Amino acid sequence: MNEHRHNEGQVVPFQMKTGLSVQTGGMRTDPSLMRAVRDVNNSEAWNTFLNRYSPIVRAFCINRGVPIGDIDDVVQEVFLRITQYSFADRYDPSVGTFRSYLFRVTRSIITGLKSSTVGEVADCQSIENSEAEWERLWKIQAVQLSIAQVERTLSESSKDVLSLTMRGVSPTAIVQITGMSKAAVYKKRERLKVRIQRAFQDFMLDRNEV
Amino acid sequence: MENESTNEFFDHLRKYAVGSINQVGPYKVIRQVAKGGQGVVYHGIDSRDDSPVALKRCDQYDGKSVSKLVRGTELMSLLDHPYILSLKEILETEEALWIITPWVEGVSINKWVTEFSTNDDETITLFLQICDAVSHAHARGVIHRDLRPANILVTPSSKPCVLDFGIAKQSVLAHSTHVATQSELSGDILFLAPEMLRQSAPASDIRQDIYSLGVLLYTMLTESHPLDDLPMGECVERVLSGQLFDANIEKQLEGSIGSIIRKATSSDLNARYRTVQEFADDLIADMNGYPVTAKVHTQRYLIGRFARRNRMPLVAGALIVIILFASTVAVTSVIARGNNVRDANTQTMGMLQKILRSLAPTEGLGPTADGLSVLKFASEQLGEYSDGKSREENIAYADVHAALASSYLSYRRGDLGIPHGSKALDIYLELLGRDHPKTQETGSVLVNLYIESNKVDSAEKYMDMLIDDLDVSQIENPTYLFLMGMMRAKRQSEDALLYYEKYIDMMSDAPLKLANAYETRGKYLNQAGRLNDALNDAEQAYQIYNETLGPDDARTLSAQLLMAKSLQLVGRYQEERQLIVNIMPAVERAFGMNDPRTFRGWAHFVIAETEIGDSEIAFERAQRLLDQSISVYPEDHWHITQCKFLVSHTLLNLGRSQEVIDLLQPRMHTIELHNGQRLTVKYQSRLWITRAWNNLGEFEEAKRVIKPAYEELAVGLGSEHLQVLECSFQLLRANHGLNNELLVHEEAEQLLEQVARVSGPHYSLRRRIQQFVDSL
Repeated sequence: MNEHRHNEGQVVPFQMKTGLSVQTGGMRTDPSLMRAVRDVNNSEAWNTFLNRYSPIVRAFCINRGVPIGDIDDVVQEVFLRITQYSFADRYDPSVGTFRSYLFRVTRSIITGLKSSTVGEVADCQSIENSEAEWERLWKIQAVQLSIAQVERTLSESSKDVLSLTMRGVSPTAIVQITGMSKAAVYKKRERLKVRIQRAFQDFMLDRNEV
Repeated sequence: MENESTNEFFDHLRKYAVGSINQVGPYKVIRQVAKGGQGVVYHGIDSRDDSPVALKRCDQYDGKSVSKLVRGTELMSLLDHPYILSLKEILETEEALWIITPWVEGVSINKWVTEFSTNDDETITLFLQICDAVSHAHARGVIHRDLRPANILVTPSSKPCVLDFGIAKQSVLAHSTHVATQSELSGDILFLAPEMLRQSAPASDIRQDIYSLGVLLYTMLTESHPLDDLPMGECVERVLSGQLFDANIEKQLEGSIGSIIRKATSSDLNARYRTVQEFADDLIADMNGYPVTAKVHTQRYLIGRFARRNRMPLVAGALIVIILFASTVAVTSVIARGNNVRDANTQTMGMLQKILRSLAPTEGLGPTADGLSVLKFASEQLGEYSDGKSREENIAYADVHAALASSYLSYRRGDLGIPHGSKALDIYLELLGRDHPKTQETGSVLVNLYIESNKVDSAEKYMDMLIDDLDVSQIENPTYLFLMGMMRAKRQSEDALLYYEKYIDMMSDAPLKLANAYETRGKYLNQAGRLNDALNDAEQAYQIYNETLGPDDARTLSAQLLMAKSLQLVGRYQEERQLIVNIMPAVERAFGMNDPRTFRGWAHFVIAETEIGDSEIAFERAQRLLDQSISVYPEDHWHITQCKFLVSHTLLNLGRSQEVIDLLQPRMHTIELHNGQRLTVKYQSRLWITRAWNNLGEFEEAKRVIKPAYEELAVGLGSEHLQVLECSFQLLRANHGLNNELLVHEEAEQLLEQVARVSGPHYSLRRRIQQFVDSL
């Protein structure tokens, strides 16, 4: 199992299989997206926020055996709660990462659900030990968002290289397909790697999150 | 030059990007269904064709197991058997390996034995089907090596489905190499052959599957495992020492079936059956009272077997064979003696028809699988008697065909009955002439079978052959009148009513036939948009059935469902809801939870509740019906779409119009239905979607969707049909939205009048038009 942060104050290297690594005790930015989300007129922020985080909450619910009919309720409850001004346990960047915070809120809502529907939530008894699962889902989502984010800023030729690489096409074949020089293809791949790693780190460190 | 780490980086990245967080490749994960030591199973949907799938996530795997699984996939491609679950593909993501298979609705074999199987014969029949599947795989060199209850599902139609062929063994072998570490052993190994426990990598041998099948058969017949309640260590010792059964069980296994189980589960490989087919053959022999190879053939045993198989079996199928045989023998012998052939033939036919009647389903309750399978069996047997040489023999042969056609009609299986009816009619026409009662009766049955199969052209052709004039005034035979009514109704022709009316006049002294006529005419009137008349007919049918058969009879309940539909169409929702609430317990009892009629009943509830009650409750019920239909009838697009329309109805009432578009839009052009259904679905989808676009203020979209449908429907159904009026209203809304200057008052008022004429004062369309007018 990879090491990851158990204590917010402690810096522990977080090594993924991908070679994407992050230092988890780094600087955190102002939670601007969270503020934007609380503005009821800012639907764009709300959509960004939901698209980014609701899949994690949803997948977590599925994996913890939350009944299918309750999943939408949990997702809705989580996002309503964290965007409410009156909510006591509001996100405070100085206390921990946004993903830990969202995990706590989601867990507490699923636990509440469990107590209200005893016996129906198949796997919620192990909810207390589900942080690793949460981290796993968060990583998957962060990788996907990183790729998408990098992709948006690429030139057409770099997009081609990324697209072909992601489809498992070898650099030599990319050279043949695109007509680019070998050096250009390798250089682009190297740059893509660095940019995706950086975007990933940003997501994991909240720099890109809230 | 690029260093190695960039390659590795992208390799890992690709695995992450195989799907999204709730998606594995093209498969959308919907819910978790099971969790075990080796992974989790999810229910999902293949987003390419919306087919349901099972996704098995294997958390613990390595390169070796991947290559084994890939090999397993190759093996799976060799198998094509109705009782073997096929494999769609194996996907590897960063965190797990995913095995994707089609979704199969079913229960575990243990549950099936405990709750559904009614006797040992039924259990053995299912087991033989499992043997058939395993034998099919063995013939293609594929060995399962992990046959156990958890790997066999039984579908709602009581057919087995063997899971994990070609892949199950990979995970089992991992266990078998750790026999010394008993803490790792689970109940899964209780079905493994001793040699699989003994060696770390035993050579594949089909007899390993035979052993597992033997243990499986024991558990199916006794609902227990021979090593139940023993500690795992002792279980392993017992299996390894060849003492699967203790002395008590051994005693119980002295009969033929016991010997078969003991032979299959012998610890000595060479003492087991050599093939699954041998194993199955012994079971079949035992079921039929023949000696089995598993038992020593002493004289006493052979005599006992002889006595058993010559006891008169009470199975209807066997009786039919005997009767068919007797029919031929009787006719032949009577002819030989020069006596009265008709008497003998009538007597034989009487017996045969009595038996066929006993197999017929209770009318209105739908076919029973057993009766139908016996009929099919009789159909097959009949082929052997097709070479009658004398006139009498040929007529006797035609009589049996005619009786079978008639029986299939009672099962509403036109497809199966038509060949028999045609054969009988051909012979009667040739030997007895058109006006002989047998020819006329069989002709009617054949016409009815064609109508049942929606082949109206053929029905008309035969009807034309049976009678000289199809005009209602010229027909005096009530059966022909009724058939003509049904044919015309299928053609949506108004003159259907003339035939029904004359028939009803003639049937005033036959209450059940009268009620049936009212019910049939009521259905037609509903389709024709004559709603108040349809309601009258439904009420008449209900009253007659209720007085004649009582409130819980299937026919009474069916008539009440028709009443509910008519009440709904005339907008009397309070009464509709009350009626449905009253009858649903009896409907569920009579037809079962998954019968289309039960679905229909709940659909009425949803619509009534949406119109006058709590939309949230209606939505929940509609959603439940949709989930149920996807799970019970995954291939029945018609049924599923109807449920989607129900959900749409409730969503519109809840102001969730966008969801209606999301729900219906993707299926609009791809649905696989027969022509009539496809058109209905197409137009209904367009109506719901248009209502949603109009609600959302997207009038351009609404107009684009509804205009062509309106034009086509108005031509096909006439301008006063409710569906056409609904189209007209939606088009009016869209046009008004696009051009506020339009004078729509007048048009809306006209629509109101038309709707009131064909429905009733409370119909929801009228209410909606009124609201629209008020808002102008």
